Amino acid sequence: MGFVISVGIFFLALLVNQSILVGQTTAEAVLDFPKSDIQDLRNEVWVIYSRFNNTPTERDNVIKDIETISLMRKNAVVNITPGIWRVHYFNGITNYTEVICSENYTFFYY
Amino acid sequence: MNFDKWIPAMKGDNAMEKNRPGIRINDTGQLSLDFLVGISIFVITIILSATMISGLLVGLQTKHIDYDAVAYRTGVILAEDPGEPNTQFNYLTITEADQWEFIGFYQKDKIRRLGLTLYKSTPRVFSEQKTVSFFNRSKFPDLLEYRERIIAGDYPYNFNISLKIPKTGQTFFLGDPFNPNSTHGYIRRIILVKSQTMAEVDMNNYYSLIPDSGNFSVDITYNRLLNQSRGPQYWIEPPKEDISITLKDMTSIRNQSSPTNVRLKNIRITFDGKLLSGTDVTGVDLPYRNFVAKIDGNDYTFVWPDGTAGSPLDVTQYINITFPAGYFIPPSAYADVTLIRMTIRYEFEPNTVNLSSTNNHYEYVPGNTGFTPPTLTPAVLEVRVW
Amino acid sequence: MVNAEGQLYTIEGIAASVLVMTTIYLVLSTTTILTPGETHVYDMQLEQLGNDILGVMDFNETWVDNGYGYTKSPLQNYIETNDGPGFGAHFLNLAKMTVGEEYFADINLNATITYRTGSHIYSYNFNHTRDYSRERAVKITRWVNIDDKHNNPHLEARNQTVLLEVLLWRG
Repeated sequence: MGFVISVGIFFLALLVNQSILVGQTTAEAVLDFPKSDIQDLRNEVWVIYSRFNNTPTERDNVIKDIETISLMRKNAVVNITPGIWRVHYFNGITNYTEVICSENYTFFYY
Repeated sequence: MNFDKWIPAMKGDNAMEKNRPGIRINDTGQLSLDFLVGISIFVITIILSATMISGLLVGLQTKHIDYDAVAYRTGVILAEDPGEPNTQFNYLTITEADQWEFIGFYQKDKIRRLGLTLYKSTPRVFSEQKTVSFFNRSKFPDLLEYRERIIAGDYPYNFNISLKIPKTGQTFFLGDPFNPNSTHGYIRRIILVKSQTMAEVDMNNYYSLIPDSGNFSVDITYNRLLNQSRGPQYWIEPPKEDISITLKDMTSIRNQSSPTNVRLKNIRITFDGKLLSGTDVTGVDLPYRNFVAKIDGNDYTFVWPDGTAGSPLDVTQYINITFPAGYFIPPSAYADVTLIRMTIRYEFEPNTVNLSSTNNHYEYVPGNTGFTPPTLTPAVLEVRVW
Repeated sequence: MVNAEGQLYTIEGIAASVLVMTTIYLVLSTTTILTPGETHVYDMQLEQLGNDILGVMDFNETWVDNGYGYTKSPLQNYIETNDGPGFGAHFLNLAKMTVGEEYFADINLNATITYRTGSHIYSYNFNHTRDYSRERAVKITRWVNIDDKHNNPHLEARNQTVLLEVLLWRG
């Protein structure tokens, strides 16, 4: 009986031991999540919308800038669809999709 | 002589030998199989436990809560979150319960979270009204109520939040005093504070040689102030901000042939709007709203609807009214009205002023002379948790 | 009566009790689950500070109507005039703001601009306060939209968005 109980307690101690070293520290989790990237991307899409919505070629050029540079330098796939203004961001860990604004300034961006 | 009784017997028949203590040398008590199994399991367990010692003993070294993480989270709630409740901009139907900075002491349970930004899409741009309301202890005299709303969690953290705007030197503090040399969680955020607007109307521009009106109006037209292409950082939302209007150089519109100074009878606030049904309404009074106007350095209270209650006031220099933030939130009876314009009409005694009905409006809009647009001023917010 | 029977029971009892006592002691002493080695807090605070400063520099103090229908932020102006030192000074000025009179170690930065020409990406160094030599650093970025009438010799003469990358470290 004592043997069984002690084996059981030993197993629990094993779990506690392993659980300490498993998982991320809080600061690592903060650094992993691309909060600033996503906020910056949302703001930049709004800037493109408000500056270039009336000139489609320039708008597409600027969108291509963002998508290419993001892929090469920031290791994140960004996909911006003008018209419906759907933004998609994926950096391998975090996947983010949102429709930012529509053609006539509806408010859900804010 | 017989020494047999002193020599220990070697054989097992002797009764004394049977009772002799100590380990007997015979073939009983050989290590049995179950003892072997038991001892080997025990030894293996001891060895495995010993290899785990290093991991288990990690717990003995540091026992502290990650205060930096809590401070970071509180920093994010204050600097990047608009708070709850916060309306998405919608100048149609905003009530006082829709914005946390206007909810007073008695309804403070409706406030779920305290955040200082304008909207969730404008991180790091603080609303001045929210900042003032946050550091105002009369709404939450107990620090516990702050803790529930900015530091979520059951642990009784102590906190200290401070904000400084270096350009004006203003500082705000909240929370318990802290010891700079003790360990505490800390985060520093650099942010912008959006200032509020004001207009100084130079009445020299409104003197008319063909007077036919005794009124002067200041118009606040919503769709010109909420400029979509400028964005939330630069637009103006009258219901949520202070509006300050000063008419200066009042003697310049005085009727020269009148024996008296300019005399002010009343200041009325009306709004134009559109009902849900589509009908337009114009000139509707904003009822039961009193306000204080500063005339030539003295404060006068204008009570709806009579204003100066029949005794007109002499004005020689200026009239200044500052409507506090939240003043233009329409009463709930008008919650279904689409607001188009608010008008503040200064009613003078007609024969004391020379105003023309074609030139007696001032539009409260950026770009107009004497108008001060909103500015974004850098500031620093520090959050400490221990 | 003391005899030699029950040796196995005795040994088993002693072994079991030693094992139980040891494991209980070790288990109870490690009941705090914690995150060991918060060495990333330094990075987190520096990265948040850098992102805040770039975010603050991306809005002009007030709306200025320049005929384009938008207002150029300080970041856009620095990049359009290729004013690296001005950018560095402005950045470090904002990084020094504190509420109290505390001292923080000086921050150094190394800024680069990444832009697209055709289907290739190029970078050039915009400003650096000191040479970087393997200190612990964080990298922060900000998208900046550039007007086509700019004075920056590296960039094409078109409306474009460039990425401003800043490497930050203390010391």
